[in-house]
Amino acid sequence: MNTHDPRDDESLPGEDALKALYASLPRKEPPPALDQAVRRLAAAAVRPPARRRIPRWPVSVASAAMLVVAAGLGWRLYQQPSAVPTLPTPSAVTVHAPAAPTTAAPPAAAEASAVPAETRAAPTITSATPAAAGAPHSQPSAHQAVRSAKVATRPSEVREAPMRVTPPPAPPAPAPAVAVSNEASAPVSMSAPAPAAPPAPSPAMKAMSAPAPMAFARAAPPVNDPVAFNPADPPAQELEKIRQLFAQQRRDEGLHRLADFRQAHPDIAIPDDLRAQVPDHE
Amino acid sequence: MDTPVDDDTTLMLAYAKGELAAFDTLYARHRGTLYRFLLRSARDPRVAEELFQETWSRVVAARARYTPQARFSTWLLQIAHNLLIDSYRRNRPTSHTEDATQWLEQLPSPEHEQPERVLSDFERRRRLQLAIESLPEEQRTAVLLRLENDLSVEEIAQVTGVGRETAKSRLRYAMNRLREQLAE
Repeated sequence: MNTHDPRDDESLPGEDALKALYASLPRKEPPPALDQAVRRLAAAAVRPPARRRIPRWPVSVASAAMLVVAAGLGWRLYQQPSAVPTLPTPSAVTVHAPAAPTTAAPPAAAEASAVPAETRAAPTITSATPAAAGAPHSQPSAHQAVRSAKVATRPSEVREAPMRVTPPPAPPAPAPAVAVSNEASAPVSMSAPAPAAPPAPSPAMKAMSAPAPMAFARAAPPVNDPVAFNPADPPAQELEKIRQLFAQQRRDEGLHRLADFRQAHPDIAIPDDLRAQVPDHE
Repeated sequence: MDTPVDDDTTLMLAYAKGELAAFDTLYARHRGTLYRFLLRSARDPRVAEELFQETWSRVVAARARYTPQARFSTWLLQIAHNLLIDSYRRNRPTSHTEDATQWLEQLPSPEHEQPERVLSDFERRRRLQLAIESLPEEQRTAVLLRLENDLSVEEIAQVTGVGRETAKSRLRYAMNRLREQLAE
């Protein structure tokens, strides 16, 4: 749509004489210091290549280091006794279900059978686990525990020597005051940690899995807020939303949005009613 | 609506892509007219310098979002005008007529002029300057955009954010007042 009126460009009465007189006014120029300041500003804005040209080798080195650390951790976990998280499950099967089939059952099935077994066998001594773990005569070394765990997982030996599989991976904490010293507590101490064995999500796993939806929820604007910022809005609509923010007494938010708008659209005049909302000292 | 792509627009787009030389050319073309527009609108060299730098700062900051919807000079003056309006609100009342007179008297006059004519022309320039100073803000802006920046009525309307008829009316009033004061 072009409604340009050619008469608009015609000189107004007396305009030529005024233009001539105006042209005779001294033509002041910005001082050199101002020129320098503006040029520095413009140069600084397009100079960031210093940051963009950051060499990529640190990224490669960091990736390699991460790989090495991860491999090292994996190896350590493989070597250490505490890296036997499945110990309780087969031992529970061994102790409380001697008649279980000798063929290797799937872990899930073993767990399923272990839980009722231990419930039947030791309904009243569930609190004895740390005590048993701390009892000197019933706690072999961690290495032995690993060995016995490995032994216990062999089906043929499970039937013959179930009681050798005594200590579970006990926590390193000192034994509590409750002392349980008889051997009968050993099976209980084996089976007690079993509930801890199921792959319940650790805090770390929760931390890894949880942030995704939470971050999404934070990034997404409130669905039901009709004045929420939308980058796709045309300037007039954004101004109208800012106006509504002030009408809803959301002044701080309105001022913030107005400042952002002025930064994004320096060429668009702010309506007087919105301009009046800006404090004079700004 | 047409999207005029003039040489200035090309330079601005080149600067947005990182060509500093394009900005230098653009700046050299518009620094004088922008500075004088701000100086005669704000009537205070200190304020004019602040607004001048702020205007270019906004140009630099908005380079990535710049889209050629009008002549570059129009866009530049829109930014300057918006800053001027803010400045009017902050600094009202601005400098007085006496200050403007003093500032005008400090300006050097051309050397080649004869004494009696120098006096006459100086007096006419001084009157014109005072007449511009005494205009209401909107009329002063309109007449400066016309005389200093040579904008059309439509462009004046665009810069000042008003309708074409309003801009034309302001310009007419301003011209009439200037002519009246010069004729006194």
